[in-house]
Formats: sequence, C-alpha cells, structure tokens
Amino acid sequence: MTDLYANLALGFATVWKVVWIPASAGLWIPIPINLILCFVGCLVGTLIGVLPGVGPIATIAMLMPLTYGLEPVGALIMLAGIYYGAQYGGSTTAILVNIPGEATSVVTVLDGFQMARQGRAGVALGIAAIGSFIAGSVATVIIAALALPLTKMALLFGPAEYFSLMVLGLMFAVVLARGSVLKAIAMIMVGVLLSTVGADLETGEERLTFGFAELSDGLDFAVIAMGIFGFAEIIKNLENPETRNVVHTVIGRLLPSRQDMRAAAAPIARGTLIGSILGLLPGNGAVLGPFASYTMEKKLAKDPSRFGRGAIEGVAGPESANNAGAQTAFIPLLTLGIPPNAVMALMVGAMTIHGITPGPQIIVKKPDLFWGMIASMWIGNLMLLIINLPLIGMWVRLLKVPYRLMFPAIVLFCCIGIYSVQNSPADVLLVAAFGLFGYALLKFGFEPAPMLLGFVLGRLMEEKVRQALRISRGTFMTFVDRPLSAALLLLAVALIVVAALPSIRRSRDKVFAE
Amino acid sequence: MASDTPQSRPSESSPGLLKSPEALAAGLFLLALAAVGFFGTSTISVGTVAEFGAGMVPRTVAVLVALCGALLVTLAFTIPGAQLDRWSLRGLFCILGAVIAFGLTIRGFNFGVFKLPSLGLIVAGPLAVTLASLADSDTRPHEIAMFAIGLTAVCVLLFRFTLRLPIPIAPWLLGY
Repeated sequence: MTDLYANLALGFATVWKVVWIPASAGLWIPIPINLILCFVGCLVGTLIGVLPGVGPIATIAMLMPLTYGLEPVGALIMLAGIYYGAQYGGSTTAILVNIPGEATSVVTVLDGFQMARQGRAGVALGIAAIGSFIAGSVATVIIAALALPLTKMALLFGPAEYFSLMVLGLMFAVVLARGSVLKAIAMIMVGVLLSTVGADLETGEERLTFGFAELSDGLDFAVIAMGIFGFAEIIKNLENPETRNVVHTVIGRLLPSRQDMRAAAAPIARGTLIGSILGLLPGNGAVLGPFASYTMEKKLAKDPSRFGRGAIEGVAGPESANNAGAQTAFIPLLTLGIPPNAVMALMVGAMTIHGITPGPQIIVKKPDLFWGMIASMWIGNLMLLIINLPLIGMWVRLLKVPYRLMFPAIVLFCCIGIYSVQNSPADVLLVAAFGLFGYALLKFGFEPAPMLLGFVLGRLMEEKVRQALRISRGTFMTFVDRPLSAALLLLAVALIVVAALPSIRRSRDKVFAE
Repeated sequence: MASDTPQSRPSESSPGLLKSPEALAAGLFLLALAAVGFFGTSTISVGTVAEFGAGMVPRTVAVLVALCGALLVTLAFTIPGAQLDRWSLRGLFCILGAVIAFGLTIRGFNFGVFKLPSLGLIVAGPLAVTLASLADSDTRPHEIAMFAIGLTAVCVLLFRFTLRLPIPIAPWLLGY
C-alpha cells in the first residue's frame, strides 16, 4: 500500500514539474510544463474529436505530430490528454448531433440525443462529464494498484505464452465484432497479412513491397487507420444525408439537479465497475462496457420503458463504463506491451518514435514516465471537467458548421496530419489507397476494427511464434505443454465455440441491435 | 453465416443459384487479397517449422485468407444474404482525388516524362478542399472558394508558424 502512495506521489510530482523560463531582464517565470501539455492535449483533442465523423483514432493520428518535438514524458502526457479529449468529444457529438464518433458512444446516442431533443442537452453533457470523471478517478487507482503485480506476472511469460495471449485477444475481437464470425476472422487474417509487408525482422528480406522503397519499413498504422476510419467513413457519410443533422436544440442548464444526481449515482458506480473490468480484457473489451452497462441499467430500472426516451441513467452508466474502460485498456499495454485496441496501437507508435518500447521494463527503467502518465490520466479527467463544462457553447457553435464545409476541412486536416507523420508525400498517396480499400470493405459487409487489431498484433505474433518454435525445435506441442499457454489457448477456443453457438449469437446480435 | 449481418435482408429478386451477392463479392475480394499475398512472396524462402524463413508467415496467412474467401463464396450459394450495396463513385473519386492531388502537389512528384515541382500548402490546400467539396451536390462555388483560401491561411498559421511543422508552404514563391 505504501508503495502505491509513493508511486502515485512520484507520478504527481512528474506532472507538476515546473520549468523556469526566462521572461525579460532577469525575471524567471515558473511554467508547469507537463500540466500545460495535458491541458492543451485535452483541449485540441476535444476540438477535433467533436467534429462529426472523426473518432478518437483519426483524432490521435492527426494530432500525433504535435508531440514529436517534445521530450518523451511530456509527449505521452499530451497524447493521453488528446485521447481523453477525443473520447469526450465523441460523446458530445453523440449527444448533440446523434452521430456516434466511434463504437463506444453508440449507446450514448440512444438516450443522450433524446435528452437533447427535450432541451436537456446540457444536463446530458454535464452528467457525462461528471460520470466520466468519477469513473476515470477510480480507474486510475485500479491501474496504479494492478500495474506492479501484473508486471511481475509478465516476467513469467515466454514467447509461447505471449503468442497464446495474443491469440486470445484476437478471439475476443472476433466475438465482439458485429455480424458474421467468419468475416471477422477473415479480417484478422487480412490484418496479419498486411503486417508482414516490409522488410523481414530477422532476415531483412523485402516482403510484398513490389519494389517500392517506401514500403520497406512496413505500413504505418496511422496510414491504414486514417484511410479506413477517416476517408472511407467520410465517403460513407456523404451517402446518407440523415447523418448530417445539425444541432438546433437548446442546451439548457449544465449542472444536473439534485434529483438527477440521485438517479445517476448508482448507474455511475455500476458503470465504472463494469467498464474497468471489461477494459482489462485483451482484444478491445472496452467496447463492450457501454453496452453491458446500458443493458444492466435497463434490467434494473423500475420502469424500463423510459430507456430510449431520455433516461439519465442511460447516459450516466454507459459514459462512466466507456471512460473507465478507455483507461484500464492502458494496463495490457503498459504491463505486457500488448496493445488491446486500435487507439493503444497508436500509442505504441508514438512511444516507439520517442524511443520507448512499451512492456514490463518501462515501469522499472522509466518510473517517472510510467507513474507520470498514470497521474496525468487523473489530471486529464479533471481537466475535461474543467474545460468542457464552460466551453460547451463553443463546441455547439463548431457543430453548427454545415457538413458541406466540414468534410472538405476534415479532408485537408487529415492530409496535413498524415503528411506530417513522416514528412512523406508517399504516405498521403498510400492513405488514398487505403481509403479505397476501406470503402470496399464497408461495401462488402466487413467490419474493419478486427483487421486493425490483427495488423497491430501481427508483427509481434510472428516474432513470438518464431522464437517459441525455435526454442522447442519445431514442435507445436510447446503451446499446449506449457500450462499457462495451454490455459490461454483453451480460453480462446472456448470463446470461439461460444460465439458460434446459435443462442449466444442471437443474444449478441440483440445487444448490438439495441 | 453471412446472413446475420444486421443490415442483411433476404434477396427476393434473385431466386436463382446465387443467394447472397454480398457474400460472393466479399469472398472473391478475400481470394484476390490472398493471391497477392501468396504469389507476392513466392520468391522468398519459407524455411522450416523450427527455423522460419521470411515467407512462412505471409504465405500461411494468405492460405488462411483464401480458405475464408472460399468458404464465403460457398455460403453465397447456400445461405440467403444481403444484396450488394451501391457504390457512390462521385464521393470516392472526389475525396480520394483530393487526397491524391494533395500528395502529388505538396512536395512535387516525378512522373518520369514530366516533373511536377513542389507547390506547397498554398496550392495543395485549396486544391484538396475544392476537389473534396465536389463530392457533395450542396456545394456552392463562391462559398467554397472563400472557404478554401481562408482554411489554407489558418492551416499555414497553425501548422507552420504555431506548431512549427516542416510542411512546405510555397517553395516557388517564398523559398520554404
């Protein structure tokens, strides 16, 4: 317990780090540099995340270049701020415009937009911010408490266990994807195939580069994500005019009344718990949090018919679950080095640029970075509360910009963003190719999210399977002989069997249909 | 399996052999990707199970993708599923055209016979905005012209002068 306090204290000390900057004639001004970076990150993250059709992945990919010039600790703190801002921006769009920016705010749309239509948009946004803050605070403590034990567990992992754990994560992604199980598995395989593009890690041979020197470093995750989630989505949005409703609602009061708070308190607590647990799962379990929370609140409610008609519990619970999951999703990344979802994969990219390899060794080698980032999570949540409540009027004005002007602007921002990642015009052309690819996927009824996870884990899986089989001299029994690995694989098989069972499939479709 | 996508509706118009055009297209798409993956790595050594060559993973995965594709094609003739969605070619051409135009003009491009000089954000920006705006029939010419210029100016100030990103502004005019 004392360790926990000492570690958190180190974290907060890092966040509060003060740099003295000379102003004029011997006058030095103290600047809390990391705090400012966190603030700026939250602010611009929300600013971009609030744009309809721009989800957290596109937002982070676009804003990542801003952090390149910073020192690693500051850069990661700012990125974490951008991440929370983007998440909250997505909820704002869901409530005000009825467009979910990403899978996790789909549920918020149901009651949030209804509340907005009843003139209670302010209260919906307020309770979302308050719920997120409470959930974020609890999740921060959970991360701090679990980080050390999990890091120790990670040391027991050999290549075989790592491989099996990633298989398990991918199976989770299959189960959690909408629609056909076969298509989801196919998407994961395509993702792994894409990850093999570029020079082989061990032999250096060029694979699938077709003579293009630009491809020998492999495909950039940001390029794929921006093509598929940025441009393919814009083209799809242009096809459905109904997704372009602009806000004409009154925002109303922001602070929830005492009665609202009483109704929302228990859903916030339950949502925080569900979201924190699901966020820990590999394979983007965080997506499930809001759905699970919404279903639970509806079951527990005295009058379930209020749901879908502006019930405050339907906003408070899922938003808390969303934020708690968004935060505990950092645990697999920071302790095992395995990114559980697409956003965390972008974080890996950003860390690599700053020369940090995520995994069990950062907590030992760079304690200030590790604990500073954890402390900045809590500060980030606090800032969202402080920034967003007064600035809601500004976000609303931004959302009133008609879509016919909004989407060309998004196209330009994405182009500049992707160019800036490596100052490479070739990347911009590649994004266009992936835009076409992503659009084809959407038209053929594929869901792209499992593909991104396959892409992210592909290289690591290849490395680990190679090592494991080299150690075992080529027998596959190594994956089942080792008990931990066998248990993980068994769990993966059980998951896929369960997902294929007709009764489960029906209820899974029902969850997504709601 | 393809029948449980949420937007799927049984195809009433085609009672023939093909039961799900969407699954057929999806399956063929996967087969094509697998073919690229498999034949694209045909010159690279596969190695042994104990000592993987560089070609082992891509070719194994390509075979698995092909299996998924073949299964989808089979299902397309057995289980009723969704019709193929219409493609909006206008959106596709304008949006992706805007991106390609940006990529080609921002720092120039060597086409072999003709070398496009680096035109910078001052040209690439308005070009991308204008081309993209053509994707929508609501676009008003005057408005978008003003908007393209204004937005580019904002981007120059924001990205070049505030965030100091090394993005070329107008090398032919300003030298940076």
